[in-house]
Amino acid sequence: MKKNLFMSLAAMFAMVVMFSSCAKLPEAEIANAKAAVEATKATEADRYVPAEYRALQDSLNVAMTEIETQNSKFALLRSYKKANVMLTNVVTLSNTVKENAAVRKEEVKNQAQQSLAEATTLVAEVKELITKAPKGKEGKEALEAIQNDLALVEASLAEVSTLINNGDYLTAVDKVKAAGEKAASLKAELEEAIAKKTRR
Amino acid sequence: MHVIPGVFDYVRNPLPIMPKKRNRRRLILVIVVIPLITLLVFTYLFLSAEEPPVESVNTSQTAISKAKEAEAGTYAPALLEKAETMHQQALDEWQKQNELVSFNRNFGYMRKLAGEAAETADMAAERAVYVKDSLHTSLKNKLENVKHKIDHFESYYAHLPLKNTTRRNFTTAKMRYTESGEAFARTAYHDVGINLDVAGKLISKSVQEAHNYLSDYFEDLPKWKRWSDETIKWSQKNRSTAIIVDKFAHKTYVYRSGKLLKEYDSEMGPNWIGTKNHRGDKATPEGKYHVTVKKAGRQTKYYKALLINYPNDEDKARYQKNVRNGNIPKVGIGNLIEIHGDGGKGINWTDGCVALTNKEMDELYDLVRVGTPVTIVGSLRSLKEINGM
Repeated sequence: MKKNLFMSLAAMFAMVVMFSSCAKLPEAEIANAKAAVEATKATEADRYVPAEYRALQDSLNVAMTEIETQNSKFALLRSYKKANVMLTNVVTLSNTVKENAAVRKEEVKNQAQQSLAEATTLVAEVKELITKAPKGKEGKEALEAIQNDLALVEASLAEVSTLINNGDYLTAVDKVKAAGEKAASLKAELEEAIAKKTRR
Repeated sequence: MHVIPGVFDYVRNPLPIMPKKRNRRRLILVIVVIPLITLLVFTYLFLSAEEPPVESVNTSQTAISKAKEAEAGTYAPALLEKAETMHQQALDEWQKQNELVSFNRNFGYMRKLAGEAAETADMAAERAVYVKDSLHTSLKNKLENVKHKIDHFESYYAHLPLKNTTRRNFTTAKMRYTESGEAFARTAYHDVGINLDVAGKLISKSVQEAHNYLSDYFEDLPKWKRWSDETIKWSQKNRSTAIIVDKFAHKTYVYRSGKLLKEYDSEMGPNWIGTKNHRGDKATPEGKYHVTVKKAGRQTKYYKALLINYPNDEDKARYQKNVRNGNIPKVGIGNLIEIHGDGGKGINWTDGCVALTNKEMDELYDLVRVGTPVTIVGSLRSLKEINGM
């Protein structure tokens, strides 16, 4: 009798062990992966490396679908191994995307800063040329017009500095190119006027 | 007949005949039958449970990814948001159903939501492509339109003595246009739109201001055309040389026997729009004049010069009238208006004279004599013709 009771308890224990050894939902991994994607977005990866960021979001979504697919299965048959691997990959991928976004952002930032420096140099050159340009009745009006245009270029460059300080590098690049182009045209105009004066 | 004792038999007969056999049966019952029945029950429940529509969710997810790739977030945001909301609702419904026992699950609603999410995402992608293409075309046209206006302004108005505000607007418009072009190249159409709108408004304003400024000036066009015709006819009739200066075109034309012989680029006073009214106004006069003195060597500081009879009677009468009406200061009408050398500077720099290069001045000097008619007009073409309208 005692032996039977013992065997029954053993069978029940075995079943309890079987049930209790069901796969557990990888909650921590899910939270980590979601946090990693959010952190990646915070680095403006969606703006600087949009395709990579989309791929990262897709990876997370696929992992979440896999988790829910497992959740739909009978408890004993669930396995979150594949989902765990996927979630780990999401975290790894998010690090790569963050790094790539940072690299791209740095590239654009450098481009903006370099263009700003070039445009600032051009403005200084234009100011220098203004001192050498024909004055008196020959160029008074033309010089005034150039100085007015130069003031607009300088105002635009001040906006570029603000954009760079605010981290809006893509817009800064567009604006600095326009300002630089105008400064270059003013420089060419002055050089032509000075050359004509020299030839006479 | 041998009857296998039942459970109640054991109760009725507490001391069975074969205790070892009985124990074995109990063992079989515990170890094999009960788990087998349990397994059968679970297998039935497992097999009878409805499969979740994973494929529908994947399809919906793929459609949303494609919509995002097509930049639906920017160009069809409402549709994309709707698709994402429905997809999320499908996932929520899936979770809700998963919380139920398997045989009680119903994924019908989830399947419907996922299907609608996929359809909406497809629509978002299509809409985004359409909007992006339309925007690309419309912005491209707008860019071309603004470029055309900028080119037009540069060709016809940039050299005019315009107001500072007009010129400032033009420069700002040109810079904003360049910015738009850069944003367009990286398909940041939202940025293009903002800058291009500003550029378009400013360049239109500049063109309008320049146009208005010139409209009054061109009121004398019939008179200028008449002067020009009379001068050419005189040249034809007298088989002689005549000069016509078109201030707007910055050209000096030389006619002989009524036929165009030479054409020179010319520079004038900085305030060349409008006729000369008084001394020091840096304006080039408009009227019918003739060469009074041919100067060369020490007679002129501008290489060679052809002095004309400014002011003529008409100029004098206008000056008196303007002084009487208080329109101009009484500083004198001015004189010494010439066609002279030292030109080719590319700017309007004289005090009201017409400047040519020294080489051109050599040619012209030899072609004319004292008495050669010099007709100076504001323009030979109407503003509409100049504007290409």
